[in-house]
Amino acid sequence: MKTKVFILTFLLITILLVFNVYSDQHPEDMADSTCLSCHTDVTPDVVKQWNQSAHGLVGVECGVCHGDEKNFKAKPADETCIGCHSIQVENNLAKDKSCSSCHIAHSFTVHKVHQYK
Amino acid sequence: MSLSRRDFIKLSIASATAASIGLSLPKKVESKEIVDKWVKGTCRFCGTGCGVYVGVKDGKVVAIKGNPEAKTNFGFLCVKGFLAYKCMYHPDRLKYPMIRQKDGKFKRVSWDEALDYVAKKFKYFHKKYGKDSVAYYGSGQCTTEESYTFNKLWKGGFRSNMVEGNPRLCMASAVGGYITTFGSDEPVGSYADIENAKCIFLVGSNTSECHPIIFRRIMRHKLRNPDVKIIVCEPRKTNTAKIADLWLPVDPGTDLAVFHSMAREIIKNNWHDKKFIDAHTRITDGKNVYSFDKYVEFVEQFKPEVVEKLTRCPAENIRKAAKWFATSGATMTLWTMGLNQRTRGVWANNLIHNLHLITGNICKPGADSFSLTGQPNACGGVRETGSLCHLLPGTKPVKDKKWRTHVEKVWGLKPGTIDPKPGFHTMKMFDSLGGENDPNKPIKAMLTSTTNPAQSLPNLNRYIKGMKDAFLVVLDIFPTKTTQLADVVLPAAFLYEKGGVYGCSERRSQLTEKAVNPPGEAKPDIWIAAQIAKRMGFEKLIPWNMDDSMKANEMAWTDYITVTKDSDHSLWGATYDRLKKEKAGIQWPCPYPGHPGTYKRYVRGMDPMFEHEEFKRFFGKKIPDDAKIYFYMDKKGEGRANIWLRPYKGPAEVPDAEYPFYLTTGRVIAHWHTGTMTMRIPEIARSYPYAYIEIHPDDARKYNIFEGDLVEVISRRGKAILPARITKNSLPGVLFVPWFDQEISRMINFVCNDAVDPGSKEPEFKIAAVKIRKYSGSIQMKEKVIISDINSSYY
Ligand code: SF4
Repeated sequence: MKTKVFILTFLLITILLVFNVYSDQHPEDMADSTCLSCHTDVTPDVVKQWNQSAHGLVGVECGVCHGDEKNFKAKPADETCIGCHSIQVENNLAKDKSCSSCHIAHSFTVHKVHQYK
Repeated sequence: MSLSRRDFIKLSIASATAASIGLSLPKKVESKEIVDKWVKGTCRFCGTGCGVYVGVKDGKVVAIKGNPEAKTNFGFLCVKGFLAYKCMYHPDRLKYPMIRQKDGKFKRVSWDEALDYVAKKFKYFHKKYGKDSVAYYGSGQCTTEESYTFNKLWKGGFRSNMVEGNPRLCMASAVGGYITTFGSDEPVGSYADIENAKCIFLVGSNTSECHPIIFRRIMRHKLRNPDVKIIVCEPRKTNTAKIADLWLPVDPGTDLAVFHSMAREIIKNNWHDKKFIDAHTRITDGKNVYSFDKYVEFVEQFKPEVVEKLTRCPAENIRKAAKWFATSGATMTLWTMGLNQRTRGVWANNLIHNLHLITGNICKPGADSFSLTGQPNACGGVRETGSLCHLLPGTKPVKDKKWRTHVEKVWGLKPGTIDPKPGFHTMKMFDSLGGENDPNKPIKAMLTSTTNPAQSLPNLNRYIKGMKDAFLVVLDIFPTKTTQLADVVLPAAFLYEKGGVYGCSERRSQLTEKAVNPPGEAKPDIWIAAQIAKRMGFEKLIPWNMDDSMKANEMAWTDYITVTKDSDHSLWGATYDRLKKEKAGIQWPCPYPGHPGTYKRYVRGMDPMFEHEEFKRFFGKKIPDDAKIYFYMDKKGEGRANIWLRPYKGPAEVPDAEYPFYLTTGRVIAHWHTGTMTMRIPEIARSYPYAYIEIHPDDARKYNIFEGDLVEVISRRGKAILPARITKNSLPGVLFVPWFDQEISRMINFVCNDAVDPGSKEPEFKIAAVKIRKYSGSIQMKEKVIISDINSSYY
């Protein structure tokens, strides 16, 4: 099973890279469900991390950063982050990188590069 | 190899994770220069009053960011605040004035045609049915200048006190509580007390969803100082309770007994502040004044074990809450609709103030009895400008002859112009609204601005016909349930398209600059008000009828701060120019230019009214030179606050054999009010695409209800059908439904109770006795319902 998942993951990344659709398409029609109703099951770790983060406590829910299937963004743009973190966005020293390139997705405890918490 | 939907999603996430730990995926380099300019303003949702900067590019708003210098939010915003601009460009925006024709359809007309028509109809009704036959129903979302203008036009121009606004439905009980306890409306302290509190008592408030940025402050304070005690008192264990140390579960409407019981425990354990009580309070039942012993004797009946039986709140929790409240050092209570939207809302407010007064938890840093206002400008726009049927600017009663005379003088009116008799409160106003041919309905016409009564009133079945039959003029930015009943629809400008002042929960007035032009022919409400005034012969009274909305706003504001100059609500120092420059607005009282504004009232050295000679002279106040704390608006002139002997009284409706459940209603973080704006923002709507009913697993089992099944909820007044959400977070026997949904079968306000508090006239939205039945199994829901067709019908 592990090998299967690995191969599939690899394939998927390759496809996404080739077609460059990764950043803008939710893989599924969301029908009438909320994000959490599905993701609590399919990505429990992500939901848990989010739930324990400041974003989880104050209700910055999935769609706020990722949109819905019509305007989906896998990686939130700085235009979203600037809503609350304008000073940080404006003082970002790595001008060519967006916030989500470095900050740990979903738990948001500073930088993922250094795993600095 | 087949791949299920869930497997596919899992894999997508796996690939995303892989990418995030090393593989860098191609991405656009985002430009940091996303705007041409940032324009200062405030958020137009919720009473927190977050400061924002509105980003404008090519004449359009393209982003909103928090204002880091704002004293309310320090740069943080909740989802509604920073995505607000997305609804401004929704294709459903109303762009042209419209008049309903004989065939029932709306026809686009010119502004002149629409305004002439409205003025002609109003004049006709005034002449035929008297000055009170035309009513104004406003909103805590109008700017201060707008509310003030409409109020002045009605009370000073038409000589009619038929002026109400939706703050009657949310904050009237808080006004009643502050006035009966302290003699003057609005909180003593400020949000800044949050960071100084050692114990925070959240009651009747799902702060995390309804005031997210206030909650953020509380959460940060708690995370930094784990010793700070957080107590939550609610029938539901809401998201707010995530950070709580103690939950006091109570049956809806029974918490009065819990508050009295806490007072009893405090006194029994000698945790009360005898010195403060003697120096600054009096015990009263409204008729007589008593000794403190009488109070001790009175609260004796509220033994925690007895109260537990009545409320379902464990006695142990009451004892612990009493201890923490009294002994932590500085306690701040925050509440909203859970206390206010009740038939004993004023009493509930009084009893919270009692707890603060007997423990001396007031007038010092971190200690305050603080009502959070629901709407962004209920305090500033409606309470302070007196835009309710019984008030005049400065939150002073129309019955008060001295103040009435003063207002007439400043407004340049003949003595005796303003009617001393209050108009009808909101529920009575809508009950009295109807067609010309109905002799039982004295109000024949109404103008509503920035609110949606056809969805937001309780017990809607009773009021729809009146709205439909009467001549109804609606000012709004989108088609709503109310425009479906209207005769004339006037397209309004969004806050950032007109500018104006909002005053939030902490007595803070903040100015929003106009950032962009409204779409189509939409106009600021202040312009519409002034144009109607002009056509009805009141141009002198409302001379600010120019096209430049910021100029009109400035004139209205200056007029307003002149009338209230020497009142305890003085904003005389908050000139328009100054408000434009101030990054964080100004907290009243601010009685002279250069005054920094007031963090805490009734404390010498902090509150400028101690030295304000004109104020003292006008209101006949004498403040002793040695008084450090003095409740100077005390009607008896003794500088004392009232500790109230309020008997226990439950809600208007309690469950019985036929209607065995309590229903309580409320909000969710994503949606504002009736969802007319937030449901049009996809990122927000996705989290809550439709309303639902929360039900405890024990109850669900009894009724054979599973997650997602449709449940019909029925009261003596109406019904709604909603999908079930099964959760242990509500008490068994208590159901919860949020009220944002515009889909008529899910509109819970048909079920809500319209019984009102005898003091504040605020209805008991929060409590109804209901029964339920399983309606059907789970089906695909009609989601994100909005009204796009202006000609669609109500039912
Ligand atoms: S907390 Fe209230 S005022 Fe602040 S951004 Fe959210 S809705 Fe707007």
